[in-house]
Amino acid sequence: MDILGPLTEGLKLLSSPPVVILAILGTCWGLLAGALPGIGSPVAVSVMLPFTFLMNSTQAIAFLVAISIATGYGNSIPAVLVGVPGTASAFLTSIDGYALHRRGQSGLGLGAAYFGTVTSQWVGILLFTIMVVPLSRLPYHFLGPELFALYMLGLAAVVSLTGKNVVKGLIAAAIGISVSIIGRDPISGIPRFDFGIAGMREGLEIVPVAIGVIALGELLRNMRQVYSWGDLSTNFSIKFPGWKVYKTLLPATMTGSVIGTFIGAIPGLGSVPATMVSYQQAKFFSKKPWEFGNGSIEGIAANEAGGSSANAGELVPTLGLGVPGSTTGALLLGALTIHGLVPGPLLLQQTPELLHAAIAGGVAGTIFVGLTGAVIAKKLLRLALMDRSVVLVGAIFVILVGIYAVRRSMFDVAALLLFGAVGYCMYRYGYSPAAFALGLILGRGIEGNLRRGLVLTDNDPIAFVTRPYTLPILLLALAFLSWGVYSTWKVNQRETDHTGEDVGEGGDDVTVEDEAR
Amino acid sequence: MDRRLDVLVAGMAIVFGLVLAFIAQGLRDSPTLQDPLRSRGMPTLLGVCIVVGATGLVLRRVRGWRQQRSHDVPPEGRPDEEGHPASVVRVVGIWGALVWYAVFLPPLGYLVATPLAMAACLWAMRFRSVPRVAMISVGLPVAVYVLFDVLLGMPLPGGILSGVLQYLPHGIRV
Repeated sequence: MDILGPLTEGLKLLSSPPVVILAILGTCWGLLAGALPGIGSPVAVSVMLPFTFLMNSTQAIAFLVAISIATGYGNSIPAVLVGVPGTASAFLTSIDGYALHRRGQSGLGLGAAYFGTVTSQWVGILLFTIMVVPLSRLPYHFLGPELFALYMLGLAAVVSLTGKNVVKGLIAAAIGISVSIIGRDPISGIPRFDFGIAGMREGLEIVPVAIGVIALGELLRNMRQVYSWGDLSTNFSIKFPGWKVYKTLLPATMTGSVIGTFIGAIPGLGSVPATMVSYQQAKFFSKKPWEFGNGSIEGIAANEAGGSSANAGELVPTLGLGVPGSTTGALLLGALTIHGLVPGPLLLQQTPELLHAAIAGGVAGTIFVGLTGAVIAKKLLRLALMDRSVVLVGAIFVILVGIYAVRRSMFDVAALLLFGAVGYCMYRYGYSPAAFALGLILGRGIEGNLRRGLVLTDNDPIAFVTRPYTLPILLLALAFLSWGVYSTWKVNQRETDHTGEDVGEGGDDVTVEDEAR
Repeated sequence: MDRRLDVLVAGMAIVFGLVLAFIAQGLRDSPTLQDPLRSRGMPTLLGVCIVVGATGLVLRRVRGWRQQRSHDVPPEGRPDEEGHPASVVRVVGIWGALVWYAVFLPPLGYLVATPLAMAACLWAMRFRSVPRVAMISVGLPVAVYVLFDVLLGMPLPGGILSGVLQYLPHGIRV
């Protein structure tokens, strides 16, 4: 198994000035956006996504991966210094970090977050490469039935993205697939569901629809309320700790990094459960477990390591199988469609340079955060104190103009607004936007390969389960689906048993986020 | 979460599923190349699944509707922050302003329509300082225009200012 090849190719890309510059720009934006109130990784990526139109696919991936890496560290700054986590995955960092900040040990808290983020990124990139290379070589001899099975395996991941109510999540995914089949029939080429509108004849563009549901929906939901993180003093000093302190954080960080990457690689689980499990493990093995929740630097490092490495882990299904491992992953795949690439299981086989670009973006982003993270922490705090209303309104208008600029199409803007309203309802009433995005991205491939497979096998559906590869893959999809339904049911059951207590496991991001806020 | 709204959203999903399945029945196929699923197969299946699932969601709420007096049920989506009043009217208003913006962007132009729409949105977000509203809603669009149109060469609608803006460079190539 050649792991060194892709790693070397990725590092070679760092000799290309455009890739390095874009990765640094992406990291800068990620740090800034992470510190801004109301902006998480999906919105940060959405705002910049239209700019990738100006880049080639390699540069775009490096740029977007760098953004998602840096957003994590950006989020930890308000978590430690304001006590408000920018995202749900920074929730535990905010508890321990803010406790340290109130004791005048802000530097210790931020230092632990910094060390956890940077160290885990290296581990995450390495593990990501080790996991994704075999995946990228799987589908060499696959035809319609096998590809259909792989797409079904990807779709089974939807059960992890459903949130509290599995039925609502599945409905969201079905609606996503329905939207994806607008346009030409994969067999006959005759337009479907176009209602005579020219812009719909070739199908809706994935990017405006996905950004509408994921980013505009979230921004509109945020606009239901008007508040800011308030008037906070920035009159304190930040002194990062030395290597002696960092050395004590190494076990928690390394464990968190490995856990985070593996959990992140399971589609739909993402960074929240990764941080929870990493934190619990660190507490279990810590010599000072009583400090957890009261200002534990081990807890902060483990939490940040889990969350950051989960970002790298999420890239495994996203690039390896073309199945978005998270909401940001869905946007990443959406960005590739701007460059004419088709997200799916053959993605890396057809365009291996995307893997190299992801490695390059990850490495460049990590180096840049490593070099600047300590210096700019306090400056970023000023951003965290910006008026939330201005940030939300500004983000919406940048997204609008960005979507327009990609194809100079008012139709895309209309689609963005329409699906923004849909996304708002989905966020509010528990129809997972991430599940919708998964259906949207995989829908065409599922139908196309199923029907092409049927034509190939002389209309024999039995052939779909008797071919050598299809049965194991479909069984795996079924197992994945059953496990997902069972675990979601278990989490909900536990939550019902302990009314008033949040559980925060099993991919139930809603619960954790509620508490985090 | 208000259970009436939950039922309403599920009802909308039922309507969507029915319309999808209904339209699918009228889809044409190629006379020469056909598969057993045909063009209508997948949308019909999806429509039926959506209708069945959403009907289940409606029935779940309707069952025991009278026994439970309050319309409040545990949230399944992302709830609001505690301690801050929420307004759906604000969201509808802002969305309306964005639709207005999309309609009037080509005729008015980016540099006229954006400040107006942005100011309306900021106002809706209870941002009441007129000088700051003016500064932000003019400053950000100008900065974005310079970045997209002047520097990157991604043309934005000129609208009523086209005559003036044509003298600016469109895309600085390095």
